[in-house]
Amino acid sequence: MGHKIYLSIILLLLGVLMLTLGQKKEVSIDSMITKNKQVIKISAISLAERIIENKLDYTLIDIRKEKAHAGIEIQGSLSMPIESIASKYKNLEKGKFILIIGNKEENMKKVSIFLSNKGYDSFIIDGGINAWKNKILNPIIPKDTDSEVTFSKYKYIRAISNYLQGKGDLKMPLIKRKRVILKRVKSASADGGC
Amino acid sequence: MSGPLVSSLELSVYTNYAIAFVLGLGFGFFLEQGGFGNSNKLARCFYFKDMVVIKVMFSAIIVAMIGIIFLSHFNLLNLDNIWINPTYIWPGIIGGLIMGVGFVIGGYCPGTGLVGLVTLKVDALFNILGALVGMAITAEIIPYIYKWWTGSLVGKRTTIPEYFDIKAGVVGFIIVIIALLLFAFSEYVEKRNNTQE
Repeated sequence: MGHKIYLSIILLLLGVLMLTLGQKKEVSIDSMITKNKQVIKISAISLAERIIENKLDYTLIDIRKEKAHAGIEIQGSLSMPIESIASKYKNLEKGKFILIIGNKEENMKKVSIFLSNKGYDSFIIDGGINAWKNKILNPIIPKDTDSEVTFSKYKYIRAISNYLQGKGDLKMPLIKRKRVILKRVKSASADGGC
Repeated sequence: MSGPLVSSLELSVYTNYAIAFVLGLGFGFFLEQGGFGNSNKLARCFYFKDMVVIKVMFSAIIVAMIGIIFLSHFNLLNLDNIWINPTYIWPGIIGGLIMGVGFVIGGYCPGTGLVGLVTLKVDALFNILGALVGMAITAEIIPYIYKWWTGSLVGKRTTIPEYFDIKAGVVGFIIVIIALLLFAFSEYVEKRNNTQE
């Protein structure tokens, strides 16, 4: 009987000790291990399409500094610098997909792993803000020698880009393409032979 | 370095399987040695005659809980890397009822059923077969009730302290008190019912 009383007292003491523990600090996002961890990426174009379709099933968070966010602000995005994620993530709605955009892929991955650990469905934007700038806001004009498919893709993205920047509707822009006559390359004479 | 070691040491999938296999063998061995492969002993718990199941299970719960609370508080364990089942309210309640009724009728829960099967107990064999049939039926039914089944999701990683927004230590203290009361109650009813026999 004696040892049961001793064990009960130890247990009670441990219980009281637990009561005195303060609120545990969140694990710092910088310490998140990204090696061998998979995150799901979605393209900048998919993000643009979501914005245009006005889908309400996601929250886009921008993990860059607030100044940078103000510089290039994506429609409907929330500024949540990486340093503030640990204290602010509880404000994110759990039923929605969390899309993460930022400057560095490593930071986006860390935030994605952190949020996944907290029970959120999170995705990162492939290429981050640079992809948004180069593929959506300023898509590269194809060369006259590029294929018709490349031109069609460009027109589609240009229409999205114009719409998102308030420069027009979603109509495909008319882009005149110079007719290029490809010169037939004279085949080189066979080396060697008989 | 902090726990769980599986994640901080970045062990391969196969090493994880090997560790799980060894831990599983150990778990099964100690369950069997504790008499948990015997349905008569397990069922006596429901008649308040042999409360060893309650005592062992609650001992395991509070040891694990105290370990997790203290280790994670001192950053020796990263709680984020521990798997927590998503919380679905109605499936949890109904599944718990089905398992409880099955435990009373069959005398085994799934883990102890497998331990009983290893020691070649016929009742454990039928218990496990019944569980497999039940799982197959449930798997067939789920597509029809999927909306309801997933509709009561509380969160993918919801813990009691997070849900009630209280400190983990407070929850730990309450569980310790419940465990102590339960131990005292178990001792009392065991003594009462066994002296009556």
